[in-house]
Amino acid sequence: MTDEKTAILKGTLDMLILKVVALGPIHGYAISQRIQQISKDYFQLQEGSLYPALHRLENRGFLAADWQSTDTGREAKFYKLTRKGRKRLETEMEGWERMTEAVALILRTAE
Amino acid sequence: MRWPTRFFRKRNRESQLDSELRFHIEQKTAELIAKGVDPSEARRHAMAKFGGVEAVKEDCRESRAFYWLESLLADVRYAIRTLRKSPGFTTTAILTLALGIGANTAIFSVVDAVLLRPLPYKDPAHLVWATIQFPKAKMHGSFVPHPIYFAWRDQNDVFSGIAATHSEGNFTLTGGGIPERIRGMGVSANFFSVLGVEPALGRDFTSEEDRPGGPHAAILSYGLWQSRFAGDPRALGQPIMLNDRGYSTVGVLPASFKFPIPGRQPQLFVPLAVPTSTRSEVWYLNVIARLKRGVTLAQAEADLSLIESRAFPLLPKFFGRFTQEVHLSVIPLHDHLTAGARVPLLTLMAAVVFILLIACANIANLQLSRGSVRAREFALRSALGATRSRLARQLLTESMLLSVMGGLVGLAGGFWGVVLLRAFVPVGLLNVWNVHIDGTALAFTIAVSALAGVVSGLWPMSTLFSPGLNDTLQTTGRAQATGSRSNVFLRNLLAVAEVAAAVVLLIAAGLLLRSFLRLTDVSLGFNTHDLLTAQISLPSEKYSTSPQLEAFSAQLLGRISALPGVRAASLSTSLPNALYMDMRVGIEGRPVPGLNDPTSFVPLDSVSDGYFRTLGIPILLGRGFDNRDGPKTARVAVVNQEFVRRFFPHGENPIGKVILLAPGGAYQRAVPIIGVAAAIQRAGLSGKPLPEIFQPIAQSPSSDIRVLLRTASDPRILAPALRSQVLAIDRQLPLSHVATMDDLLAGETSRQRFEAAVVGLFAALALALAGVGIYGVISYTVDQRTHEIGIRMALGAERDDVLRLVIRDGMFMAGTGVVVGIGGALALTRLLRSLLFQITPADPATYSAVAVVLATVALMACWIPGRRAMRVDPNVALRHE
Repeated sequence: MTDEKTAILKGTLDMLILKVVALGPIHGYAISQRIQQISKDYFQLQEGSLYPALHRLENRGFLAADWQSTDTGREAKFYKLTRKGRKRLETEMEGWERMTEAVALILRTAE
Repeated sequence: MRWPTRFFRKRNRESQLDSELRFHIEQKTAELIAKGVDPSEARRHAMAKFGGVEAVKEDCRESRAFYWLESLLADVRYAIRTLRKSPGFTTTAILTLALGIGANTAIFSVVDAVLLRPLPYKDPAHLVWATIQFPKAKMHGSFVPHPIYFAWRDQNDVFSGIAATHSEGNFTLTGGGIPERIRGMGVSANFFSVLGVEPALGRDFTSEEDRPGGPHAAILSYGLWQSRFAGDPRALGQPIMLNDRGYSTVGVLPASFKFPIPGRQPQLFVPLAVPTSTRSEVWYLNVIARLKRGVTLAQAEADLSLIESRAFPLLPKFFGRFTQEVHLSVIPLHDHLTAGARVPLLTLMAAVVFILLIACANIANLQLSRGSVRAREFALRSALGATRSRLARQLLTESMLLSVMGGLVGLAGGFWGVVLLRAFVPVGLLNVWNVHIDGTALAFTIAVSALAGVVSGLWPMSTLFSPGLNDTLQTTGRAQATGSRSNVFLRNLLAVAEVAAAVVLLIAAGLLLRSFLRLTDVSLGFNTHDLLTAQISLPSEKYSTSPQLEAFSAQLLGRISALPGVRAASLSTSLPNALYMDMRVGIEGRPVPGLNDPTSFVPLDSVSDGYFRTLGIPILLGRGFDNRDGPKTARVAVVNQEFVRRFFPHGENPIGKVILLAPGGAYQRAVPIIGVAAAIQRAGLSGKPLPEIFQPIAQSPSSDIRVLLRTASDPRILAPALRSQVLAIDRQLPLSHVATMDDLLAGETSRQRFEAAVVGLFAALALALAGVGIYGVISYTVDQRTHEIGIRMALGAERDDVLRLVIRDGMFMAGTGVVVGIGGALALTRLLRSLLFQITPADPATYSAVAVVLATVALMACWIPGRRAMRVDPNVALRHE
């Protein structure tokens, strides 16, 4: 992964995780696969680095977790969005949109 | 599916974290296998894709709210386990630290009590000491003539209160119980109110009592009230007799009241009652004052200086020549009262700080040796994903734990040290101050311990990480191979620093010791050995007339001179090393000196004719007293050389010149000089010789007699015989203060002895620690170089060559330390100047002696590992590789 991508990822990893978890209870491995699939492997995540972010979001009350069985019958830790997390996701998305719009506007009009 | 949730919640968080991450890697592996990757390759790939497991775990943990506490507890548990695994190191480190911290706690508690704590008076920051020095008057200390005090008192704009004191010396307190000698002090009526102190019982002095001829009043210290009056409130208003004059006690001071006059606490206060006239005589006063708010010391000095110059004309005429040179100063009262203790205490404080630094350097060195062994442990943990900051925190926890334990043991030692100090500190240095370990000293100990932990822990830490951890992991087995170059350099540097600090301390101790020896060696001008002294006070009821006194003296002298074992015996009115009575004198044919002109006062003694022979004082000119000088013959006097120097400075022959004595104030007695004796050190060991006049005791007998016996052997043996001779003359006569002159003089040097002993003790500790430091470094180097030594020996090096090699390295280190230490000592010992006597702070003898002592210790410290290096068997050493 290039430095440029790392920088973008670092700032937005929390938002991406919240967005993925918003779709329904999901375990860590699945989150990492989902982010890579959806981004068409644009983000080559060092997979371990996902977990500190997950734990941070859980400890701050944006995510809740419990242990459930997977399809294959193994126990795994499933994360789901809390009410607080949903609000957080909304504000982060709004902020992100406003910023990208502003950046795009500058790029267009500054020509 | 509720139960597994509850089940899992109970499991601890660590295993949950572990399961979660393992699940991820297993899923990944399974997925890769499903894609057709080889199973072992799949797992490796999954791990690589995941990153450092331990680092991820650590990052996850850190997001927990109280993780710092958890990790601290874990670190402490781990540190305790590690320290218990090497009890030798742990004990050494804790004891070394305890030594340094304990010494610091004890000395700091004294510094805190004496120098840092504010004086126990109201608003003490505004209290000042105002004084004038007249260098031309050649008086001891500095005092304010009373006319100037009056002018200051009446005209100043800078003080809200100004009071004067006068050391009244000792009183004999009689009436109600046995007579007692007590320390008294004369104070102006407002003295206590300027300090902001109120009597605990009764009242303060009134201004009426402070007038000459006013009612005689006294205020008791709490201690005297307890000891003399058993704390009875009825003591108030009771008449007491002080020096045969009646006083009434009007008040008792609070128990907490302290006012040290040169380090001693007065037991009783009387009003000063300074005469209002300023023309005829001068009283020399001590002046304290309270600054008005917002007035600075410089402003006060300027104001007093102006008033003072206007007041000079009010002084008696003889004073005029002294006012040509005047030094006025206003200093904080606290500085004045603690002036004598400041340098000694700061010296001790500096000494213990050095001890602590050496202790820290030693522990840092020990940590470094351990560090090279532990480098593998840390490399392994680092490879498993522990971050550097995590490892650093671990090491810091370990050294903090050591210093906390060292601090606790040290605190116990500090309590003990304070008890010792209180018992052994000579009278006058700080006995008035309340020395104990309080909150401030406790806080100081905690701060020092923390600092010691950081200092001794941080350095080793920095080297642990400097070599590549991977290299460390790859070097197989041999711990000693891990000592990197910077590590060795740092260890040498620490040892050099230890040696340097020890050198500074040893030099300081050496200077104090030499100075003490010089002091005890001072030729007092008389032979102090084999000299027994004693005191007799003849009661005035039985011995009232001169013939009675004279008869007693003659009879006593006859009896004690005949005692077997006595070589010479004599009587005098004061001991040659003790306080003396000053007499106002003039020379016939010259102008009469002004009243209280300080240069007109000369110590006067009555002595029997054997006096000069008994003490071994040579007669330089004319003759000493003999049996020609009896009660009926013409009065004569012997003076000393210093008297001649002061009164006959132009080489006139003093013999036959007539001295005028003014015993009652007026000159009434004319005595011709018949001889000149050599001067002795009357004003103490470090003082200057004083002029003196002697009269025959047969012509001026006294009721207060000192006995001097020059003995053939140990003077103490003669004490019972002397006592029985006195009792044979008068069965009721007590002989008091029986002591040898050498014992009396030892008391005089007790302060110097104490300073030399304490700093010497600290220096010895420093020397031992520095020796251990050098030994540690050298034996570590030898261990490290076993292989190299083996090669050298296989190539034909002799065992002596090996020893020389090891010793050369060690001595180079010690030599560097000595040079640095001598440089430091030259810079620092200048501060000791005021404590030294006839020794310059750069005394070459002390410096070279210390260098030799240190070199010897260093040589021994190298010798032991050097012998070990000599015994290296080349076969074993080489096979070892």
